[in-house]
Amino acid sequence: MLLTVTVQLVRRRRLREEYALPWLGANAVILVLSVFPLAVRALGVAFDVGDAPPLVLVLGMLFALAILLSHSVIVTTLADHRRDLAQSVSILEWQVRQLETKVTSVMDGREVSAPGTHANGTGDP
Amino acid sequence: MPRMSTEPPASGPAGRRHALLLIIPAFNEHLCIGDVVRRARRALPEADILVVDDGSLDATAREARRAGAFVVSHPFNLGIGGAVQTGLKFARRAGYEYALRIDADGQHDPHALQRLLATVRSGQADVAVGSRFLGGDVDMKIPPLRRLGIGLFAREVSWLTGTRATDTTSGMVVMNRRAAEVLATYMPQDYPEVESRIILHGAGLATREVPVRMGERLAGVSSIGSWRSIYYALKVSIAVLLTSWKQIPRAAASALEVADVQPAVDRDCDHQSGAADGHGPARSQTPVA
Repeated sequence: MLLTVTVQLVRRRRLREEYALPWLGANAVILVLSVFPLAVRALGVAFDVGDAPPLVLVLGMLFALAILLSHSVIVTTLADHRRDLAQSVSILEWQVRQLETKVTSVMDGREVSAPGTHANGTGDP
Repeated sequence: MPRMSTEPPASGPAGRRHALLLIIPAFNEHLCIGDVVRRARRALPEADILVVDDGSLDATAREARRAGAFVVSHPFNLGIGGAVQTGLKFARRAGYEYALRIDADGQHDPHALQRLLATVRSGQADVAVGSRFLGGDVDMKIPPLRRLGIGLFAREVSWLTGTRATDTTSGMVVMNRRAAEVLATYMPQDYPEVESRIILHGAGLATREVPVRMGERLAGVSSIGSWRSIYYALKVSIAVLLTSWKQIPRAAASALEVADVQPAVDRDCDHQSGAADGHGPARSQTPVA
């Protein structure tokens, strides 16, 4: 079930392949464990614990924690990029307005020698 | 950082061009931004004034423009750190020599900037911060809880930087190009004043406090509510500690190394002698009421 949902999300481009990979891996593991109960027992032997099912639970939780942490890192990166973009956009917007003002005044035949240092806010609607 | 344009944006008269940029971050301050800009223009006629409108929903941008400031508007709210950083990026792109900053609520007397500027210009420090508590006479009403927080931050910053800090939440700052460069890249975002002290220290730059007087805000409400201030204090304290572990590359050279002034930045501090030895619990300048 989970596997088909993941694949569907990727197919509809709602989920990027790079982010889908860990989920696909997890889904595969879940599938194997549920189809072959023997695998759970084998896991218990491998980790040298008597009761295997709780082990699966613990491993699952560790996996979820790792994914959450990596998502926090991704969110941080995205937030930083978002901020940089907003800052660039706002400064560039200002520059465009400056240029517009200059162009307009040149077209009107007036010289660009603005009357005051700060008289640059005339280009706004 | 990609430099998209080498063309300076400002159009001041040649000669005193691109020397001073006064940055005023503003969020929904349309009631007083006009007066703040006009007062600043009178106090610092040689400076270009840049109001960074941080996604305001009111007429902040229009009022600031009408008062004669350059106005840069964020498409959405980034917080005070992001706003100041935009101003610093603007200054960097246009090649301003000094970046100045005051708050948009009218608490700061822009005339005091001259003294801060003199401190930085003379090479006594890379950054000058206006401190409410150095002068002794604190005539503004500060709620006791916030006063406690300010004292706490002062202690923390003093301890982490080894210099005496009294007013770490001050929004009145003058910095030279080196410091502006560092903060344009590493500006902390949410509550930047305290953390940026640590970052500047980490970059090897010298900060010096200058006593200033601050009044009440002209209008509007502070962005820090009373309930949230506890959360704020906790958050900033932890953030400051984390910040001190951040890797900040050292700036090229601090003002002290350049100007060959004796490096005892905080020794000859104006008033209130003693206990300014930086290490150990530096005496808090804020009597906890």
